Amino acid sequence: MARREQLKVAGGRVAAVVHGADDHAESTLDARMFAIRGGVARRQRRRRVAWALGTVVAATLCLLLVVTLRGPAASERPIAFRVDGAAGEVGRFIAAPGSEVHLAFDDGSSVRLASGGHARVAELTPRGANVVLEDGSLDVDVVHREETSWQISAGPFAVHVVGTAFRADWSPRDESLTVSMREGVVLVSGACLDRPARVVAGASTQFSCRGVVRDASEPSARPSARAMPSASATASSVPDAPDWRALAKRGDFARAYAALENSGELARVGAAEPAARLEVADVARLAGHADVARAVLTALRSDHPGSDVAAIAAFHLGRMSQGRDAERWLRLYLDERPAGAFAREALGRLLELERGRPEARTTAERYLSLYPDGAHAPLARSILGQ
Amino acid sequence: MRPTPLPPLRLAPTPDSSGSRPAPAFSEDDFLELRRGAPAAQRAFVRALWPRALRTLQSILGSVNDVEDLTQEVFVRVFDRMDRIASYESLRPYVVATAVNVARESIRSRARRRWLVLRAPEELPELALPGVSAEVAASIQAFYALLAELPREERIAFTLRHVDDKELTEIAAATEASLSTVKRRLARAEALFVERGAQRPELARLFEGGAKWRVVNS
Repeated sequence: MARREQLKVAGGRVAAVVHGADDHAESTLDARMFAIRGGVARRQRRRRVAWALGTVVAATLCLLLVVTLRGPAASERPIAFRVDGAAGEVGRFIAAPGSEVHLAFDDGSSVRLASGGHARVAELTPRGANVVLEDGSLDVDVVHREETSWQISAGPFAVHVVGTAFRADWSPRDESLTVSMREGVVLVSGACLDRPARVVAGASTQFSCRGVVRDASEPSARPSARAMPSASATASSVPDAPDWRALAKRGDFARAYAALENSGELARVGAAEPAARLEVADVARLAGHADVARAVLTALRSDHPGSDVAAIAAFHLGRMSQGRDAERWLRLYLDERPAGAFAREALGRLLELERGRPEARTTAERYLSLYPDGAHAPLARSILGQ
Repeated sequence: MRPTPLPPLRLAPTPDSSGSRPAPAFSEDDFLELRRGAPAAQRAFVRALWPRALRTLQSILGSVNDVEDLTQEVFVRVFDRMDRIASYESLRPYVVATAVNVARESIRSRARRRWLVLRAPEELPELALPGVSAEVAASIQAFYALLAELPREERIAFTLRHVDDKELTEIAAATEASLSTVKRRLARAEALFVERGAQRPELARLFEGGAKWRVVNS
């Protein structure tokens, strides 16, 4: 048989195997349409944000130039920090699911992430840190020194800190940042602010690129805000509908899911911050909408490949799946975050799934070497015949 | 010693491979509604063209874990650029070309990840191969492991031709290359595949037998 003909035959056999039967259920199509619409919304949002970020980056670079020209820092070593006593890591996702989390920096500064919030330390320098508030509230107390330079980032806003105590509340849903000052002064810059705004001690100012700033302090701290190009031009306000997060915290996931749907936030979840998307996936899963949860998690992985949230999404997908699918997701999580927060549980679940197969022995040995006192240690020992 | 022949396999549902027109479930009127953004037309479009996009990705990449995500990405891009689709007749080729682009990016990112985790090239993520024997699974896995060694464009031309059974002109349209470029890539891919495949006993089963493969009920 000619080579081409042989390859055609071989290819046909491969096709017959890999072209498996697809799921034609309407509920599957529902989940696909949901994911596709979310993806389109994300793409359109990225184009809008790219324009806005260009302005923020320019403002930040100007600030860094000013800081640099003021002279060299006392020490060239970046400051370090601890999270509830454990060594902190730049870029690592920090969540405060049940209680406040304390970030202590070795320049004496302190940041407290309120319960329910999510943040990460994006950068450390000899003069301070850049902390990204993904959602929730931070209580910030920065020690002033001559060269101190800190930044708290929230959405399109950046709060520039040289030595102050304040609280920052960021709501990605409302796209609003509230800065409440206890001591000192901060500068807030943002894509929709004509110029950076000063917020002084005793003042509490809300910033939103959706409309007019509400300000309870002196007139000099009232910037003119303009709406983002595609945002609706309405004043920011707290919605009256039940907050889905509050319902979820009470364990009322069915109502929390309904609140997400009714408010339209579920349809817009693709444009939400990564941490919020994880929360939405949790609500969907616990409310019995596994297809929606999977769609949100897989989209999150697609949008933020290699990130902490992508790895966490893989872990949750592993928990939601069965058999070989579950194994693959758990292995992906372990590949991406071998020392991650869920590594022990992922390895233990993988062991349960592999039980009875030859590969379980290797997994059992790995588990016992890493977690000799872990919850799955007895299973691992039984697999190894110990 | 001759390797044991492959057991009979069940044929997957035959896709619509007739030229450039979408499946009958999606009409020209539906296309006009789709251009206007009608949700029902969007749904009908995804229902009709999903299998085509899925098969293109599966042919090039194998039945990888994230093929569902990748297929969704195809439609995200198609919907986002709907204004670029000039006619009903160009809809299906556009979906296929987008699927090829998504597959191309997936190959690139997998190669980058393999480098980052210091994983040997042959250690590919396991393919989803339900309901087949270990022998068949090993052959399919070896097939895609060998394809992963080929240059990316050669791999795409090879799989579109021999797994997805596309004509050369269709491959040229899907890969946005000239016919002569496609022929050159295909020839090179075939030569590399045969040369390296000769050293892999798991692949011998795929070539077993001179008769054309046919459906046999299991």
